[in-house]
Amino acid sequence: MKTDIKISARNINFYYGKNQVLFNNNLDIHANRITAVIGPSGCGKSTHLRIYNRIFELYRNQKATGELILDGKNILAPGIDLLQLRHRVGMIFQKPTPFPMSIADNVAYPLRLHYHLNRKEQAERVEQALRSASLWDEVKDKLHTSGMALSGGQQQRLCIARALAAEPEVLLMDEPTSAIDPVATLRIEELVQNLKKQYTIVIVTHNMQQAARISDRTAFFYKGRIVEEGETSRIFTNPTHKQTEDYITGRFG
Amino acid sequence: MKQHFINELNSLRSLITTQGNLAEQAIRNAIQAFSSGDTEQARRVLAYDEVIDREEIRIEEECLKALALYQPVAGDLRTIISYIKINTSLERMADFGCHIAERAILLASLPAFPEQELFDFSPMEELTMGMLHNTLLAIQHSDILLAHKVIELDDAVDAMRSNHRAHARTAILHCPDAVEYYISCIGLARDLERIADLATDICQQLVYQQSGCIIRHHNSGQ
Repeated sequence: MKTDIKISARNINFYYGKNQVLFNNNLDIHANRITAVIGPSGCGKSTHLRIYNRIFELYRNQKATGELILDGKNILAPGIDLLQLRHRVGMIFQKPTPFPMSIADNVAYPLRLHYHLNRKEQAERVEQALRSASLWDEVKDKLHTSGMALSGGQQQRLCIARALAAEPEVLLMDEPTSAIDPVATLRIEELVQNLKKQYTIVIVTHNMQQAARISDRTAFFYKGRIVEEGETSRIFTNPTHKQTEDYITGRFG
Repeated sequence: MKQHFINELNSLRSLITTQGNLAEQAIRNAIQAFSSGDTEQARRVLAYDEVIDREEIRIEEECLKALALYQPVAGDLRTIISYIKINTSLERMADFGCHIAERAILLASLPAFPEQELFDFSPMEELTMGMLHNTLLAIQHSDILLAHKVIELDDAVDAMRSNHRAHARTAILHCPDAVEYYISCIGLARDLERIADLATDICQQLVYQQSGCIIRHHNSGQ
């Protein structure tokens, strides 16, 4: 199926100090599709993800070169408004990271940062985000209790709601289910599949079955290079490269 | 975990190979019974089919268990899917062996027939059994070249079946009293041709298993 390219990574290199960890990578992320990024530990998949919203710049001595074209504009170029970029490209981390505040305030946090809404508008947007994250029914009666008191799976959905509240265009997910149980994992997977109608999603995962279940496209990273990329159904039935086959069938990694 | 799965795949291949050998032996015995009129041998083939049927179910259950427990992908997934299909084909081959055994029993009940009028099935039998034997070797050694050689022989067996059928039609007109014998001959030619077809199906499946390319129906549009 032909789709638009939302993000195009061109000749991307990445350095931790003098240590190069990504090598001249090219990858297209299709709009309104879920792209899974897989590969063994240390292959550079999370590093690659962290370039999409330049969150790596929060740390010292990290540098990316090349071009990352988001809707036709190179977001690695100087002069990009990072706050605006992170507004457009939201991120969910491996461990749920609710802020030490109420459920409602967690979701309202980005709204206060990016929008000037009155109390009623804000409450509506909080509800909308919690509904989109499939959490509303479980928390609607305790919106003012602490987000930290929720279960692991609920906390992760709260973080997704918080990311959605900012109305991003792209959602980056770095192993979003690795710290939660199988039932909560399935709920998140279902949620992610529903979200792709509105968002472009890139998900890093160590779970091969998860990548196969939920993604439309898959990119396999190995030692800082993209070995193979394509339709998930093909990668998981008939990969072109032996390294991909060996990794997804568990023969290494 | 991975080593367990590799052991499981090896064990499945061994089960499939054994099942193939059982089917091959059943068909060989049935053909012998047809040629020699040995009804006891034909009955042994029919009785043994139950063992092959049971084994087919066991292999299928083992394949399903491996799918459920290990959730294989890529080449491993193709291997198990191929084993499921190959297992079914082997059992159907053995069923055609039973058809031949039933024809042998029917034939033995007919009046004696002049030897010079008998059909010579040996070239077709040799070709079909050769295809079957090489198919089993191709499974055992994952030998794609051998699988391709088997696939290439399918047309020759089809042509032999057509010749036997045409020959039988003429013979029936010439000697209507022997119609039962000639109908059995048409049936035997059909059974052998179907066994060769199934050997071809298995070899096409082996090509898919190894390469991921589906080659069946490639000539269907021509």
